Amino acid sequence: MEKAFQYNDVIKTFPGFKLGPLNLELEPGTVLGLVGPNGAGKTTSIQCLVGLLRPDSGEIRVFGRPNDLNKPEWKLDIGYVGDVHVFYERWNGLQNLRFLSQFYPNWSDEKATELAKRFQLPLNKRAKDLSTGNRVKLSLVSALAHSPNLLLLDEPTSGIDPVVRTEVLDVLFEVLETGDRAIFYTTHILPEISRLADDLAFIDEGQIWLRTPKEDLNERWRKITFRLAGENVAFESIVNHRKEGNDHQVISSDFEITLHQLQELGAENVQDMRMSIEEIAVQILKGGKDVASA
Amino acid sequence: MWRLLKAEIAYNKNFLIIAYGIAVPTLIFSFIWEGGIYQKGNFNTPIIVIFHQMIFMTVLFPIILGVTIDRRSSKRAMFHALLIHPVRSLGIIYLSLPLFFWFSIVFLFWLIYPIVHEGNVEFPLIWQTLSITGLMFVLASGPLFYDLNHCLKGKAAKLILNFLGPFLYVVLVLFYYAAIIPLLGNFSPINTMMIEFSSSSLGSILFFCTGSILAALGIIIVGRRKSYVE
Repeated sequence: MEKAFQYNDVIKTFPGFKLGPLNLELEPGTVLGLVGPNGAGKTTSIQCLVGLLRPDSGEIRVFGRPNDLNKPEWKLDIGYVGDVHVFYERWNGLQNLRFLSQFYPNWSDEKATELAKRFQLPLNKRAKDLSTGNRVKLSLVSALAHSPNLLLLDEPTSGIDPVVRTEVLDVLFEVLETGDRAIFYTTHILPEISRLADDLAFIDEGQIWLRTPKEDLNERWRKITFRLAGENVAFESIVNHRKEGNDHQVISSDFEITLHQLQELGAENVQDMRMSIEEIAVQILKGGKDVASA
Repeated sequence: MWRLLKAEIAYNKNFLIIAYGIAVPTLIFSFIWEGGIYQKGNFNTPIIVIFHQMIFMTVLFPIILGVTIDRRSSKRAMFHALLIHPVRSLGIIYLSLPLFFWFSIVFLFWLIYPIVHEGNVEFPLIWQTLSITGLMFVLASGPLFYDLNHCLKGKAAKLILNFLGPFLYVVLVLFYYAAIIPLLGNFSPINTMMIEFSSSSLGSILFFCTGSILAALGIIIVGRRKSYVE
């Protein structure tokens, strides 16, 4: 089966920033969260995929087809919600949806209406009069109404209030449950991604440092407290270390290795605690490449 | 392409209604008033052409240059680039509305003129129409300079474009409207020269070819942009 998308040595440069070489792929039916700080290259990556930016070099494929802007049939398989929501501004939501429906054979008016009702989206209001939250909702309806095989979401909840954010996430969760859809989701809001993602990729300064299944992170990372006398002991797989007298608290990226070492060192009162995905992601993003590859 | 063209017509319907609502009565009135021509020095120039340039500038020009003036309009290329539609045909669509308006008014003028003047057609008027059509092509391809910004790298290139494009347009406007805008009176001799040149076969071919080349370039450049992000 074709990959949902593939980036092959993709490079895109701007003054002061270089994305890539980027090599990334997504299996159908998988949710990949791309996490990184502002300016890391998340939006640039996804804009290269949907064709808003032409890479300087490299190739991108969507379900096996190159993302050629002059042979746009590959776009039939994707639904995109960007960080900027563009419409015919003087038209209302319904007019915009009717216009878009002409381009998609799989478009369902019933689905669009149902989603709009679910989101309480006023379809009779002009796009330029919609609030930020409603523009996001209209973008989501546009992206979901034709049941795409690949959903591309670039910080879709950025700038919207928590109530709307929860509604959006609920709908996305239902989308996941009802189909074999792939989702590529970029965000710097970590709790969102921990709920949705199967895999996480961490990006900063235009490079992906780490890509790993979410469950792997849950299994391998721990907070460990212990008591151990002695100075300047080098602990393995440690990304953070706090010490008060002989009491230590460490964050380990591979707790089995760390526990084994502590056992050999004769540490006492050893206790390990699971960490949330958000806590792990913060450590990875703070620590950089060295932490990611540890 | 037709889906998008239909949508653009529907979306700009009100502008088109206003434009035709002004242009057609003005054209008819100009024939009643002055027989459709305006005397400038030793030359007659189609009065309606001047009026319709003004209409074009004040009504359709903001649409065409909306990409540089109105931030939300500037996102339209981004909107269209996301559609299931080849980007190389966006340029044709963006040019087609203003040029269709222009050609329909010119057609109407030349339908009425021979009737009013009992078949007596002054050849300089034909050359002028061709020249001004070339000028319309130049005006309609205004977004070319904006789109080139999305194709070129380098601050110097962008600086030249951001300065040169608007400068050329201001020069064109000044020269051509100097005859009828009192404040621009100092440019009047150059305006007269322009009308003399544009009334010749050579001048009209030059104007028309320049306009056609710029329009063709404008069509190609839209599809070659490196970025559709505003």
